[in-house]
Amino acid sequence: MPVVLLGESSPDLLIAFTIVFRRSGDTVHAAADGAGVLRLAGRVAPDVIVLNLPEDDGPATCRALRAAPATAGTPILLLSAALFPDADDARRSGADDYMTKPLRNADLVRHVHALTNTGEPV
Amino acid sequence: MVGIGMPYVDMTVLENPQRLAAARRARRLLPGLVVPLDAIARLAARATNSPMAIVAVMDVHEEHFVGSFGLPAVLSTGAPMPVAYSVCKYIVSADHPVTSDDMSTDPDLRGHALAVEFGARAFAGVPLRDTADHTVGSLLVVDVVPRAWTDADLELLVEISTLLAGLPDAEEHPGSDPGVLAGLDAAAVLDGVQEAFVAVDAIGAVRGWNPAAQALFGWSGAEVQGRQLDELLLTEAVGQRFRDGLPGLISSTGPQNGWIGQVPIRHRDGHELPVRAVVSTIRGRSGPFVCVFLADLSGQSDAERDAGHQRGFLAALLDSLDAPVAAMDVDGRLQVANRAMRRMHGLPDEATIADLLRAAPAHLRRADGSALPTRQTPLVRALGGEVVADQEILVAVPGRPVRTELANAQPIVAPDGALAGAVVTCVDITGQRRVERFRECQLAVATAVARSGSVDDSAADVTREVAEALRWPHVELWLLDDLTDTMRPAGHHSMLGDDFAGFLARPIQKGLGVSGAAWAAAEPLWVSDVADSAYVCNHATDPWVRMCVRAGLHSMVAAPIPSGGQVRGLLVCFAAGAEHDQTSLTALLTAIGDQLGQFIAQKRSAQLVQEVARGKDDFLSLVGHEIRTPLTVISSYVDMLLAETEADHAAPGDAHAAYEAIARGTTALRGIVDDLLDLTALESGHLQVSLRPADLAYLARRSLQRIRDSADANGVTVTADLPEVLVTTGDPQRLRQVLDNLLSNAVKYSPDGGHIMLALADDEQGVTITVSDTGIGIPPEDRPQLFQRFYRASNARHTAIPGTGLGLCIVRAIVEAHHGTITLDDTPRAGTTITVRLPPRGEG
Repeated sequence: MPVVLLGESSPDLLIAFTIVFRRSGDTVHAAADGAGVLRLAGRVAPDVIVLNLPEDDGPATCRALRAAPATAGTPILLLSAALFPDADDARRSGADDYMTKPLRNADLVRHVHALTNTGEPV
Repeated sequence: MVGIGMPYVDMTVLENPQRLAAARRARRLLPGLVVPLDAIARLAARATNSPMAIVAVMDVHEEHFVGSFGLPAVLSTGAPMPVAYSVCKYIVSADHPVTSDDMSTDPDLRGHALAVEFGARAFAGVPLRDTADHTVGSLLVVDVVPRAWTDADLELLVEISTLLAGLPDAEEHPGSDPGVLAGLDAAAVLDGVQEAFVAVDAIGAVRGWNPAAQALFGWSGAEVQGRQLDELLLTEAVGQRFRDGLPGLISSTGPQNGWIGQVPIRHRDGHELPVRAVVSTIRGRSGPFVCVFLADLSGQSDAERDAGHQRGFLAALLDSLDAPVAAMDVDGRLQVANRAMRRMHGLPDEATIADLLRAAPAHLRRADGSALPTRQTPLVRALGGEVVADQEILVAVPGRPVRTELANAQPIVAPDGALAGAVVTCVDITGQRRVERFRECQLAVATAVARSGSVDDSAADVTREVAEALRWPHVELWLLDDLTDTMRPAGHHSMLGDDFAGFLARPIQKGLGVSGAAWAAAEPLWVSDVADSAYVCNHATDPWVRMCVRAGLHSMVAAPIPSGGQVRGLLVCFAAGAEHDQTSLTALLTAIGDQLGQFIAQKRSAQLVQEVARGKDDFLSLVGHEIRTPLTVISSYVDMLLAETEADHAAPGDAHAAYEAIARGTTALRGIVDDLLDLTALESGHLQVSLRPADLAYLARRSLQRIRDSADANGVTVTADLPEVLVTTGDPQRLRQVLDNLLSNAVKYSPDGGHIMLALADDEQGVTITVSDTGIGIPPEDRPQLFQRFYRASNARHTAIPGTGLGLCIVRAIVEAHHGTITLDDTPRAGTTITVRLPPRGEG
């Protein structure tokens, strides 16, 4: 089962998503900001990274992950907090996929598994 | 008492025609006697030691005192005396002397008017007879005390009366028969002469005076007897000549030695009249007399006076006209200018033509303000033969407002066709032109403001237009600064020159000075003279007032610019010279102030609308954004809780039902947030549709599938008329959204047993999607708003059908992003038909 690295700025969602991924059988490592994500990324070797960070943190973290050799090829799913996100914006900052909130738990799990080739493509 | 006869009146005697004719002749004749009658009376009084004496001629009902002595003034006027005062009547009736020693003891005389009114107590009188022995009057002496008249008294009176018995005889006259002349009554001859006759003795005293002289000069013979002719009738210069020439005249003899000439004579009432005088010297029994016949020349003068009067009438007529009139003679000399013309040039009514000629040329301007050369003035043009119609002229009198006159001039042509001169009349159209100028000014101000889009940016244009319309040298526009609540100069137009650059550098404080007072009162304020107004504290030292005086500014108006119940600015205008046409100028400035105020108000409300619209978008985004995270938290945990309780299939329990309710609410909320953000993104252009080939038939079938359940639940049947494949150009996801929205709306608003029809069609014009239902329909009055955000038709709002009013809005936004159209079938029948038209493939 894949190792998910979660960067989530909302404490409530951090707990909720951690439970959601664990229940679907994944290993979850979570951080509340970009610095925490970058620290964990070197240690845990994630199969997929899910980021739901503020605008002043999310894209920068995304670019930093791409720049780091360990995570340069790791798929990244961006949960958009932006007003009008589109796929291009997400891709410009190096993400592979994006989802806008609000979202359903099942959809989130489906997108993550698709990125790790462990589920149906979305 | 001598007692010769009792006093009685014999009318037969008095009325005797021969006596009467003699008496009347005597009355004319006696004043002409060389012996003054008053002297006769005085002689009689002295001789008899009486205080009063009268020489009287008796008519029938009146008595004439032709000479008197010692009489009270009222009795010596020369006017005829009523018979009540007459004593003469007794003497004439008796035709011999009559006396009364004491009138108060005589029953017939004690009530006599002379006794009662003038205190006469005694009298003695003797008849006067003419040469034909007719009794014409009496010589009478009167005393105020009782007298015992003696025979000696009466003899003296008779003796004196004989002095009057004869008349001066006609002198021998060459060319006349002396016999004839001797038979003539000289006095009667003179009476019959129309010319005035005056005889003067050697010392220049009047001795003869005929009725014509009385008529001509106003003096009676009695009045002039013995008075100096020169003092009586002659002006000082002529009088001197008369005195100088008199000795020569007296010493010469005969008409040949006389003198004929025209002299002015002074009438009794003081006016002078010209007479032709024929002067000759005649030697009579009592010595030489200068005899003068005077012919009235005032008939001739009357004609002259008439002409003068006529000129006066014409002048008065012209002066009474309001229109200025002037005329030149053929030589270009100004001959006539009426009062209105003098006033037009600022001259007083009594100004002369010369005054006008001095002043006028400098006042005349062309309509454009440039000086008007003399050769182009209407009068001079008309003198050149031209008929000048409606030449517009400005009359600029220094220190007074410029007037606009419309001049009409034409040549004056004599009856023989020759040019005799030219005449000009003017009409003052200052008010009319001003009204036109003001109207143009308002239009120009509106145009300037509209073009620049702001009052601030058009301040220079606005002040220039106002200054030109008013013809005032300095106009300022001040606008309110909202933040500091102070007035700041926005722009100005000034002809004052560089010396007055600091004129605007003054603060306008609310309630202070003219502008500040207008601001505080929100009313236009007019001050006729700034330097003399109550709004300035210290006229002598205030540097700004001194600048006004130096710039020659007098009148000042401050008009507020009202907007939204507040003064948003001030229009402050200054006039050179004192303006007095307060009403129309204030009306103009008020109108322009209101105009600017309205524009400011419009501008503000437009800004407000824009801000509100932008605010709404921002608000929607913010709300949408901020709702998303908590919504995700809720749905995330509800999903987990549902999954846990679902596991217990045997007994789902209350908790599971509750989680399901929370999940439905969350889903509905998420739908609204999705729709809102979708719509905001679409309308703000943040979200583009990505066009590619899309099979509309496939999308429609998917959409029908999705709606089937809710349609069945509502008891609504759905039929479709779809081709197998209909490929068009579009964003498949968005087109699906259109189909979903249209179908779900139709199901939502169709009653149980209703019917929905979906049809797709394709031709050269493009693709048509039609969704018809048999629902509640859309009231006509709601149709225009149907595609607005949050708008729900009135009949939908009033039913329990839930909805946000966003669906159709999103549909329209998507259709328009595809360059398509959406229309509502407005045939009045139950239900609704919505038609979406998309461009042909490849053109979207």
